[in-house]
Amino acid sequence: MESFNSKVLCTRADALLKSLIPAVQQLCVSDLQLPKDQQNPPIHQFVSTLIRAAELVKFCESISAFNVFRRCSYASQILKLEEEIDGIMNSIPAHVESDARNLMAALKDLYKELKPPDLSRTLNTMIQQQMSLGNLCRSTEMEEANKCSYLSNVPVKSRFYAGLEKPVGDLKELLFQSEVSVVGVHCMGGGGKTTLALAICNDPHIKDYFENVHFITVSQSPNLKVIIETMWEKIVGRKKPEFQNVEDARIQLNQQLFSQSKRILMILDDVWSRAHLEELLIEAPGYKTVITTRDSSIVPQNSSTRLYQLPLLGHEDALSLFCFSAFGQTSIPSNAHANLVMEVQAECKGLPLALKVIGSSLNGEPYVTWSNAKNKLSLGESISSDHEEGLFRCLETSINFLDDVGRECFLDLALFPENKKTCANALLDIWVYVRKLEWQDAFMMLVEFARKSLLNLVSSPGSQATISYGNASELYFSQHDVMRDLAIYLGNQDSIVHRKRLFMPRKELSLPGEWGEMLNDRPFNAQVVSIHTGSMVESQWYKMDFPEAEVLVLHFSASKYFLPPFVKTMKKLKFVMLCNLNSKRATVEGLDALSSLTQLRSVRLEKLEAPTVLEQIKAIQKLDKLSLCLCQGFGNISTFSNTNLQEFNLDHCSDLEEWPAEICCMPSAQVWSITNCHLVEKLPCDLGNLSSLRMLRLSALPALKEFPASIGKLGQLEFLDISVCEGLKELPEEIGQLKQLKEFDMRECSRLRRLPRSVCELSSLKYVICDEKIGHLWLQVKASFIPDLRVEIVEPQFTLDWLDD
Amino acid sequence: MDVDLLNPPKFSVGQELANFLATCEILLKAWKAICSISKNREDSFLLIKDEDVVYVIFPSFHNEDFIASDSKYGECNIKNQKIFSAGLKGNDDKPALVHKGALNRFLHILENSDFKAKMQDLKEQNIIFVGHSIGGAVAALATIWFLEKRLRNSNSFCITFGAPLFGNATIQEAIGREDWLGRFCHVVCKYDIVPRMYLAPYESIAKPLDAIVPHWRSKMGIDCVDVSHLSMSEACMTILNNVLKCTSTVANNYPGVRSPYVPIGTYMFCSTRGAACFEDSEAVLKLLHFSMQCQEGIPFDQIAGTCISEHTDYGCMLEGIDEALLNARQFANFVSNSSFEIGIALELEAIGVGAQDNHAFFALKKAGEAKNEQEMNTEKLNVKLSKNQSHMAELEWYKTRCKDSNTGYYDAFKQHDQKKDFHVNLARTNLGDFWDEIVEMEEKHVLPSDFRTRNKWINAGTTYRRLGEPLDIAYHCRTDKGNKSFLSDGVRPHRHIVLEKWMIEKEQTRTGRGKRGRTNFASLSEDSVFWARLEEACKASVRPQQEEFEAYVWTMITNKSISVEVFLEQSSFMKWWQQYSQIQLQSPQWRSSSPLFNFMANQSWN
Repeated sequence: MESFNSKVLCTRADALLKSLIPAVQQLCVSDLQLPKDQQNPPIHQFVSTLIRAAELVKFCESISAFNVFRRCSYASQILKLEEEIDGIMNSIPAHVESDARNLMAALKDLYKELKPPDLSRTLNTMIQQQMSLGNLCRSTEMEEANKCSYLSNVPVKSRFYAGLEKPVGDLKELLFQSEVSVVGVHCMGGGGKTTLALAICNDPHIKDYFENVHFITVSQSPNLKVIIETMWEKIVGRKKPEFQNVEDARIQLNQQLFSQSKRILMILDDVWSRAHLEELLIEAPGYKTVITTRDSSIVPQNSSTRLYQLPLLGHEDALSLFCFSAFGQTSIPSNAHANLVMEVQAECKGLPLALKVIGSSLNGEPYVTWSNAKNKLSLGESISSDHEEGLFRCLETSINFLDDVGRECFLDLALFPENKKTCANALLDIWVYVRKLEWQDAFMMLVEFARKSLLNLVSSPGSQATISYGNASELYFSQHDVMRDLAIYLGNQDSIVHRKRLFMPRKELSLPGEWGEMLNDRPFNAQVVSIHTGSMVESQWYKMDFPEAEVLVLHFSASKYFLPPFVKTMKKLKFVMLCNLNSKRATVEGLDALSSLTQLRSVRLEKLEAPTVLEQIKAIQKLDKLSLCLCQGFGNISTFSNTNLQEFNLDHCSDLEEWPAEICCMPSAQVWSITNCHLVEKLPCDLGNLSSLRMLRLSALPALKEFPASIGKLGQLEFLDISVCEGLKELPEEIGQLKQLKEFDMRECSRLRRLPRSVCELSSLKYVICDEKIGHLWLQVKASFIPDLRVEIVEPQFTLDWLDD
Repeated sequence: MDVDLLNPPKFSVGQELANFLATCEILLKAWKAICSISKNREDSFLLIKDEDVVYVIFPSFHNEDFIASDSKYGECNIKNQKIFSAGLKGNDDKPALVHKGALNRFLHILENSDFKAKMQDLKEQNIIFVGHSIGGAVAALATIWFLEKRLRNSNSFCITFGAPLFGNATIQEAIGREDWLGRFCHVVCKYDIVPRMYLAPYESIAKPLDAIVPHWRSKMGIDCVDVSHLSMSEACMTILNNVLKCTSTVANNYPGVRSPYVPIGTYMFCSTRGAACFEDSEAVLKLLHFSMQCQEGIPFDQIAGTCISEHTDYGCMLEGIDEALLNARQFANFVSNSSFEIGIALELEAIGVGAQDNHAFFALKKAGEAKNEQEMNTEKLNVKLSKNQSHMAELEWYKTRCKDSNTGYYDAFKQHDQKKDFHVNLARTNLGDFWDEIVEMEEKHVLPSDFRTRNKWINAGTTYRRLGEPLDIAYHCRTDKGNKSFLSDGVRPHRHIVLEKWMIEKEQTRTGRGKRGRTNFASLSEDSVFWARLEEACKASVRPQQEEFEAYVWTMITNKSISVEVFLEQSSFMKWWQQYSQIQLQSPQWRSSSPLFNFMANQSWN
């Protein structure tokens, strides 16, 4: 399946080294016999370099071919060696030189084999793959994706998947029977229920038969009142009256349906309990309901209800889905071991999610991995709807390719709530600070996870560039709930006190009771803590002790929140994320507890009111990264300073207008990202004090009028992003002083019509992305001054994705 | 390193147009019709039907019409007579001025003849209003009067011969706005004094005219008066001298008091060497001067004589013009690579000015370039408009999405706590910039004069204003620190004020067709500053102001010009209503007398 190219190369390099080292040692000896002034010190260096090279090559030989991140770090070391050898080349005698040259060539090949693939390009191809996967599955549905389906809020997604024709036909047959009013579609998680429901929404016959088709996701912890109100609005098409309670709403809705007597199909996706269902089921002439659930027992049994068990995929459909995930084509490729593929596929038992996840986990893997996977799968319990464990065991094989660190990283995914897109930076920070990965390696892991369908990545245009600078703020990830369940399942093996991860699987009003039962002042062992609640006051928190905690992720939806007092016990805390999921910003109290955490490295705050912690941030000496999103109340912050910050992100801060004093006292800051702050008219005039800055993002600041002249002092700056600064009329002449500038993103700066003359002096500039007007000017600059410049001209793209963020 | 470079114009077609007019016979027919008007019809007008065209002819000469002595140039405000619409005014509401003599004559005909009734009968026909001399000015006024009736399927046109200037820049602006300028064609002989005459104040021409008009009348066969040759030639010299003084002031832009009159419509200059048409008012004004210049070798008194005699010689001129046009395709000593410049040179040769005349040449070149720029700008804006539709779509989607969450988009945007609020703000600023640019261009006259009455732009602007201004108001309320009302001076963006004005002006011209009432509530409130008024009412402490707002809302409800999104549960309006109705309910009669209370209590918007 994959030749171990790197191994061959390692052997070659090794052989060369073995012949070269004695020769050079010989040289050294003779060199030492010369009088002092004729000696050649580089030769001695050369010996030690070569010995190090030999060690490194041995290591390279031993790493597995699919451990991408490990390979990356070796690659960079090899590159360094190669440069060193090159430096010595001039000072060595001719007879050794040719050998040394051969060695360098061998090292170069090895480096190429191991080298970290260009990160942004990796991401790009990965996303394209995801898209092509989606396209193949969707086939013709794009044309149908018209406004109507949007308006009735039917999600426009995957209309055709392998082996869906029959279930769709069966379900339609049931729905067209006049005496049937409720159909419960059930099967285990990952069985394709939602996919079937969506296919039904978009089916032409269904659209013809029913006047309206509505799709509503109920989920594990639903707000029934909101759901029934939504149903009212969708069915009645008018604004809802004020309902006293769910029961009242249901009765009124029932009356409406009787008076309307239209043919309406309501799809309730992902129902978990009978109690929920009873509140949402309505009977009326012409009104039919489809329910998808994992548990058939919640569907009431009577003459007008039918149950439909969604069958697992048949052999052929399963094979084509599996092959598509594993090979990108719908049949077994000729160079693959057909039998092995069939066997692995058979172990997935026709469960779509398993086929997809295991298929992609084996994508591009060598024979050994495949046979390992087969053995593991055949040992485990078989997949069945009764045993969730069976499913997990099956899916667990999809993470077998991970080493220990990778496995830990996978388990960290359950920190974040389901159904929410989370910024990739948060995850990467955890992996960097707690799992001790290099940032690049962590990022490669993320991409690897996405490639293996362990998570989904969503990016916005232009995000690729920033990744080379260690910032993935435009990248978001989400997870299939079964994969999240798997992570929780694997993480919850120990007793609560001993668990390394303490999660709340879903949102609850307060902390889970069982956490409180463990009180007794016994410290928890958890390294990672994730809490998802509603509004909390100080007294609602248990007294808990987390001496080992390094990560704390707090999600809540509330307008008031009190930071858990036990934060003070988390002396080792490195990463804090405080994220409000309410539609309005929240005020948080007790934030001063953070200032006592001396080990804290990264803080992320989302949708909060005037984070008072900013004033005290100086106390957190080790803090590297600070990110604020959708926060407000900057008018109240007079000074802000933390001289150790390396990365500073402000995103969607609506009232940021005046800059707090001393904000630019960050001599070690490498990344500054100020985005979507619409009131910012000017930048701090001492911006030039950020002398270590490598990346400056000033994207979507429509009120920004001008740059301070001090921008010319940012001598280390490599990446500058001023996209969507619509108010900017000209760039300062000082921009020519940015001698290190490599990439310049200036998309959608519509007022910008000229470039300062000094851009001709940007000798390091490699890449400019901009719109057509200014692009012509850059092409002129390229023609006469910077021949290496790549100018990419893009048109603004319009999507409606932002509506749902 | 600037990006925008305009393409220079490619052609100048003045000569082709003249060629077309000369060969299509209507000019000759119109002239013959004028000659046929007999003495006893002098007070009125004449209808002549020829094939499917009706010629409406106005008589040429009345001594008293030429001189209107109440003002310096004989001008008067057209508004004083209520026969023209209120829309006949400048873009900045300045009054339209016309020559009083011509206006009075037209009024006289309107009142003392069956003109109105006859015109009524002419519905759905092709009408050409024709007039010679002062009658030409009357014909032009009649054309404006007729156009303002906005009859469907009727097609009217105006041809004048040797007509004096009759209206000021304001009326020209008003006609241009309606895109009617092309309906006026003025035929002018090279030396004819009358078209230039009113550039001089009346007192400098009144006296010589006393002597000259009878001469013209006899020439046209209306009167048979003998005019002494000596007094004639003296009068000719005086009038030419006086007029030339004024035209050179105008043509060279010397400072000083200027006559209010400007050329309105297409001018066809004729000479023995051919003819050419010009549309640009400023350029025509200059040509009126340059084409009357003395040529070398011709004595002044001879030219003075020609100035008078040519006024009645249009017949001969028209008959000879075909041949002249055939010969007019040559010129000497002019070299240029640009077909546009060559076109201008040819035109200048044809009207007898000569391509060497730099002043005239540059005047025409400038006019052609300005016109070209206007067209290019419109094209650019068309492209931009369609690009900006995507921002409008974003606003629409945002509005729909906010409605689904039970907050109107106004209030959602005012709270500004979701990422989508930020995104839509970008669309808002983009659209604002776009319309600012349009308004600015229009005010700088770099867009065609009828731009602001084009349905496309009126409709696009109105939709934008209704959808976008609520967001501007919300933005203002959220960010304003001085607590200034959106409606106070200098706060409401200029673009909205202008766009609203354009729409109102357009609606006034549409009133004839009658406006159908709404049957459903509007999807966007018609009054785009509804929310600003609401914010004011919320802040208002005095009751009458609040009651005024209640009345205002009720009017909007009765003519259904309010959007039902206003009544969404979380909207600021509902909050105001709760507070307001609580206070008002303390007075018992309010409950029974307030229609709004009833409406709100029954939730009658559903």
